[in-house]
Amino acid sequence: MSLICSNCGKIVETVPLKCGHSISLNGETNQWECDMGNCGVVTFDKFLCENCCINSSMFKIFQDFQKLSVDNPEFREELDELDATIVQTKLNNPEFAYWVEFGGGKFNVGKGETDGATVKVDCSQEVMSEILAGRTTAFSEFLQGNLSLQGNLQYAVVYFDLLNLATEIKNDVGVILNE
Amino acid sequence: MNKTFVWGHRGAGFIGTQNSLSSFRRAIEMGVDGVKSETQLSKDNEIFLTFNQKLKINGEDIPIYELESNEIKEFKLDNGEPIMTLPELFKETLNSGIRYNFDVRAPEVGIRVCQIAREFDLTDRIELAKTSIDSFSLPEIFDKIRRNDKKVALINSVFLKYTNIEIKHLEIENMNKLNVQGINVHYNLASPELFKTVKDLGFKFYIWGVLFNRSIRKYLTMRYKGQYVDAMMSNFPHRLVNLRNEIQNN
Repeated sequence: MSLICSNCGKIVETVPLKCGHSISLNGETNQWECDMGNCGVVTFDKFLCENCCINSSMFKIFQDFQKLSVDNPEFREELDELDATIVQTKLNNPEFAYWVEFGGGKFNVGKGETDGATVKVDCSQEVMSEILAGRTTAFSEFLQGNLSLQGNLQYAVVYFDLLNLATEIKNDVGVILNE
Repeated sequence: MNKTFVWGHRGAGFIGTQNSLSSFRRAIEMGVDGVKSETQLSKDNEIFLTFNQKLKINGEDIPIYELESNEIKEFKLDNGEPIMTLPELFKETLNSGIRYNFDVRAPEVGIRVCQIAREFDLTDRIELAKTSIDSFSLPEIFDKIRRNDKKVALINSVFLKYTNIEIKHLEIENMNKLNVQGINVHYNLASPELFKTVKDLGFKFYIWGVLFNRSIRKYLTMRYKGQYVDAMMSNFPHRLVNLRNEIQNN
């Protein structure tokens, strides 16, 4: 039996270790499932290859920020004062595109490409993962030639600062909830 | 106790059109202590205040140093105002008592800024900063400037490529040799430890890029030996002014 990635259609040669150790039959649905870490417990017909799983995890971070913009007054207040801006991001290796619209009190995210982007960001999946994890900065990657920016750079600066802020608030909220 | 000096980035930063006369005026109305901008030298030796090193004219990107002043003057900012020259900024804001901090990317640009400042008797109110996006060593940018002007204040903006600032990145020996007064770091890289190190070495500590209330509060409350951070720069200078007055007055 071959496992096929439900997103990109590629045959999955090696399953993640966590999945390999946790294959089980769901008694209610009568389907095989495994634990894919950040991508949760998935049935084999919804299986994702490792790259698509990382992209999906990354996208979830942005979806969390979108939720934060509704739930958290501090984040919402900051978004109120910013001009409406659209940032289009294209990741390569593997390819994945998503957009973020922020400002005017909103933070919305969507998969794919959209018109009217003020800023375009291009980098590898690995670089974006490192930025989102706080292990590097967009500035540093830009100056090293690992991230390219097109459009109004001032808005790019605001965008990455905003992601930092959202991460900090999200971590604070997480601490409060855990307490 | 000192109070943190507030620089309005390109005037009033994100409020209105940056580096325009109306933006500089607005920043002064907001109560900033100084304004920060970038400087470019034209072919006819005039200083223009713009981040852009090239202007798009008839679809072609042309370096500012290849353009005459009258050609640059034809270029309009988003609000319809022309790109300002340094003498225009000085004439318009001289009486406000503010200070000026200019990013320079070449020695000859800094030397020309100093000449103009002397004409307006403003040498004591200007600072020249190495940019944080250039990898030049301090002598490459400041050596000629210091030889030309012994008095002008010089600031070392730490190169943004570093994700952690180490002591070797600060060029301490060069700072002492060139009499550079301060170190300017992006807020992401500013830490209490770095603040202590810089103050213990006898330099001023500047933080740039603060935008959101959370980071502004964080750095306005940071103290070492009873001293606050010497200066902060923001694209939302009104927030910085208001929070500084609220936090550091108590």
